[in-house]
Amino acid sequence: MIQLRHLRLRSFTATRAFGADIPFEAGLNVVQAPNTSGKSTCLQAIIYALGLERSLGPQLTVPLPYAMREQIHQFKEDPYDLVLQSYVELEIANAQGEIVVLHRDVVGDKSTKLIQTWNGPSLSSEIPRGEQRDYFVLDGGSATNESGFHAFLAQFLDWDLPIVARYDGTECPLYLEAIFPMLFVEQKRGWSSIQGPFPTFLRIQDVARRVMEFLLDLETAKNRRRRAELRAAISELLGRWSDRRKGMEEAAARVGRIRGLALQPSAEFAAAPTLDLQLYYQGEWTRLADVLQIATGRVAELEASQVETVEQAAPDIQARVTDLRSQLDALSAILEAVRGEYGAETQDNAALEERVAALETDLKRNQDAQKLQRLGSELGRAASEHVCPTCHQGVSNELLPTVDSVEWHSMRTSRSSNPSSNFIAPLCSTRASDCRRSPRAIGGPNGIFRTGSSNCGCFVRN
Amino acid sequence: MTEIDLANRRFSFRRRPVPVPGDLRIAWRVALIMAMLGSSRANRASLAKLHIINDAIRSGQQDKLKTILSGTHAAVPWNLRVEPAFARAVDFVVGEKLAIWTKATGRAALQLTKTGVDAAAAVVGVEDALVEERAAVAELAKLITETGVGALLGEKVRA
Repeated sequence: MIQLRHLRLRSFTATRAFGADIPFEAGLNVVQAPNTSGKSTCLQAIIYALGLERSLGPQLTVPLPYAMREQIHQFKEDPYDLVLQSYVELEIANAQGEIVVLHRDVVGDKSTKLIQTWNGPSLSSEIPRGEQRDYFVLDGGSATNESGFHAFLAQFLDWDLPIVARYDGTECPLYLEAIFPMLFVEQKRGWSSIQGPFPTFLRIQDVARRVMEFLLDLETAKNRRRRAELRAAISELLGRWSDRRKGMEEAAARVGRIRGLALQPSAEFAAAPTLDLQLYYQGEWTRLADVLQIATGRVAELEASQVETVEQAAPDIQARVTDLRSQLDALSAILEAVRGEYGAETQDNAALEERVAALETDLKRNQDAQKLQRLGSELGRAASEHVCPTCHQGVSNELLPTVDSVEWHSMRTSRSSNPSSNFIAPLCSTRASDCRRSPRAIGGPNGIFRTGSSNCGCFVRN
Repeated sequence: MTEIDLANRRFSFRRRPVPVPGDLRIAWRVALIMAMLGSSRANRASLAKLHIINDAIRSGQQDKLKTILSGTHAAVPWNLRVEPAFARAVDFVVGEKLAIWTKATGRAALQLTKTGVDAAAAVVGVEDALVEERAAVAELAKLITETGVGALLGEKVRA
């Protein structure tokens, strides 16, 4: 709640002081006066004193008429006098009865962004002013900063301003400038709409609804916040449950398993928790209590029976040890042999598989070559008729015919004058030695041993 | 059977067919070259490009070559092996006038002749032969550009 107690306007010229003092009572106050005598000026002065002129629009100009800003005269006929200094003072009280006086300059030395305050009713009862405290408005942080006037005002009014979303995705407090259009109606253009326009330059989403919710103290905002809090609490509890559950399962896994722990906490579990630790005992899952019972029984049984002495048992055990050791040695030897055999077999197998794969590829290619024979002379006579396209002599069916040592020998004798022949001979043999034209190859001493796979030797690329 | 036994017997020689690897058969390789040239742009490809495709198919490394060409693994090395049999098959192709020597991007290149184009079409027509090879060739021939050939051979890019 905000209660206006006293308004004071002052406007000083070089020769005299103008101004008005309006005391307000609790409840409805009516200010009545003829036209152009300053009623609207008073209303606007209240807004100005509270630093709320931006709720009328984004402009930073002083919303007061020129009588407070520039020039003033006492009667219509008088010439105007220049305003040298002017200010507005307002005394307000909150619900707790605390009273504060606000002072803001319009014209003068001080910045219009400064609002000075004093505690106590110094305006209405003329008592000396107490400690002065300065606040700023219209600058960034005036609603959040400790020295911001709107932060002070919200605190003074005991208003807990809700945090609201803006169009750019950020959040801000619901600024006082956004709220006050609901509290201040200036009738200038008829009464078609009572509520003044909300400032849009603050870029608050759904500003009208947010202000209504705040002023009427509607539950929605609180509900929304409460729901978010509850949701956070639930998710935190779920996280803790899942952590604990995991820890318990891990701990239980060392000895057995745990049953009766649901993935999510449930009301049934809260009412009657059925936790069950089970151990794997003699081939089946048994409850811990049952295992304990069996084990206790066995312990009692063992304690009751007589234990064999070392002297009695030793010879038998030693004989068994010797026996088992020799068995172990024999088995180890077999294992080594088998392992070696297995390795060799595996290697052989891999090699064979590789070979089979290569053979299959080769078979496929040979089959393809056979199918391609269907094309006849389309691929050339070398492919179909085994005739060299350049020298028209026979060529083998192979691109690189294998050369037997006999042939190689005949070549070496025929070209032994060339010292580099040892190096190039194998290459030559694949080309020239096969040629039927080479009389030495045919008529040489070893010529009769030729296998007859003739091949032309001409360099086709000539 | 001892050596003495062998010495006292009559024996004769008979010619046995010599196994020829399929990829060294002239028809197979010439058909492959036809497919390569037929799949290349304007039925023309440089000798270097033909060697690269030939090597990829013979060594079964089509996938590796595709990875390199896709450019996602820049640092995979490609070792090109030049096969003498392939050079000889190219000689046959030229000798049969299926293709003629020309130049492409400053490299020796083969260009299919009219006969060669018909032969390439005929190879594609034989549906049941060279199925995998033709598919690989068709893909690789489109992927490898002449600039890409230079990059594969480690040529420095001219500024």
